[in-house]
Amino acid sequence: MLLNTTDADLLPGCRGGDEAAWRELVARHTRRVFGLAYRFTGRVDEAEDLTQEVFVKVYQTLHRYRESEGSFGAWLMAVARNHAIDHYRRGRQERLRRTEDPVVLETTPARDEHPIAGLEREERSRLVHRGLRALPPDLRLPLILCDLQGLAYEEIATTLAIPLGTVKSRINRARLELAKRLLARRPELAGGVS
Amino acid sequence: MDCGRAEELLSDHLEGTLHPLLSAELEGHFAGCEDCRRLRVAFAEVVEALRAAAELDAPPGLAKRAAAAALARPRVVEIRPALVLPPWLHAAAAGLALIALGAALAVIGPERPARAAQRLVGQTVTAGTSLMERKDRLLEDMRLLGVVLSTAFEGRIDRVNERVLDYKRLLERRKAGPQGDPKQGREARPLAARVAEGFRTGSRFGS
Repeated sequence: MLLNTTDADLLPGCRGGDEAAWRELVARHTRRVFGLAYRFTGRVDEAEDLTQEVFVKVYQTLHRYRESEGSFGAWLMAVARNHAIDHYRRGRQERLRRTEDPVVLETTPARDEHPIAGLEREERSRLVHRGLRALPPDLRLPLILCDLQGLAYEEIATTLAIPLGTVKSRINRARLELAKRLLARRPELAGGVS
Repeated sequence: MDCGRAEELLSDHLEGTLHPLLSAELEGHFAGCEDCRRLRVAFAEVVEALRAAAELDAPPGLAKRAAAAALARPRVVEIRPALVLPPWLHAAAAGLALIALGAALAVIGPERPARAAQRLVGQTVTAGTSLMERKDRLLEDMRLLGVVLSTAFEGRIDRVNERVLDYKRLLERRKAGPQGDPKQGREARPLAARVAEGFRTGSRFGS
């Protein structure tokens, strides 16, 4: 029934208390919000909680969204990103004491990739994401927003309320840190690049 | 160019935003530094791994739970004012308020507002004290008036009582007979006329 409707079609119903419209809207965007939450938290259980919190917040503040300011999806992801950043900053001490989540983000395989090369890539990805979780927050947050969320440097500067030059230098330092970790583990990788 | 400087330029080099002169200098450094060459490769692999990360599928049922969690919370209702005044009206009201404030300051003079307020309080206290004194004086006047009126009334009552006593004595003398009354020869005027004369003159009846 709601398959051919757009977000803009569903929003008036959501604002008016139409539960079916709201469930449909949430179903459409859950994957993206969860993906973002997982990249910030690094844990499935925490990302699930964060996803629910984001949708509670969005439902509470639906009246603030104006169609003239852009698509609902973009507004939703901005709300989710800000919430994830707040959540990350609040709980970083607790996070440091926790063990790593066994779930690892998989990388998209390249076409006609050799099986050995695929294994290498997966192992590299595992190392990089493990290193990402170990980075200090001031380096990790800009890197997530840049390389995982695809935000421009200017948007990151606005989101984190830090100067543009600081954003660039922090992203470069974060990448360097991960690259050096990767180099240090290179002998463990099969067929390391030399 | 040293290795530290080369590391600082890696992101710009990778993204192709480096100035051609700096880019050429960096390439020159890479040509002579194996460590930096290896670092450049690892740097590119890191960015590739991060950007290629596939989006994780949401756990089953999460969408339903998230929707239900939001619906379970009481909705925040935006309260809009019934009457939205245009901005120019706000500006006009602010201007009028400033004019009123300026006029008030002009009236109270160049004194500081605190001093003016202090003076106003002093004047209020003085006025209150004066009012209380006036009230006390009025009450005293009312009391004196009451005394005067009551005295006058009491005096009048005494006179009436005296007239009544006089009348009783007269009746007793009449009962006693004509020979016992030394004033009998003068009883030419009627009793009512003599009582009325006594009221008018205030003298004792028959004296």
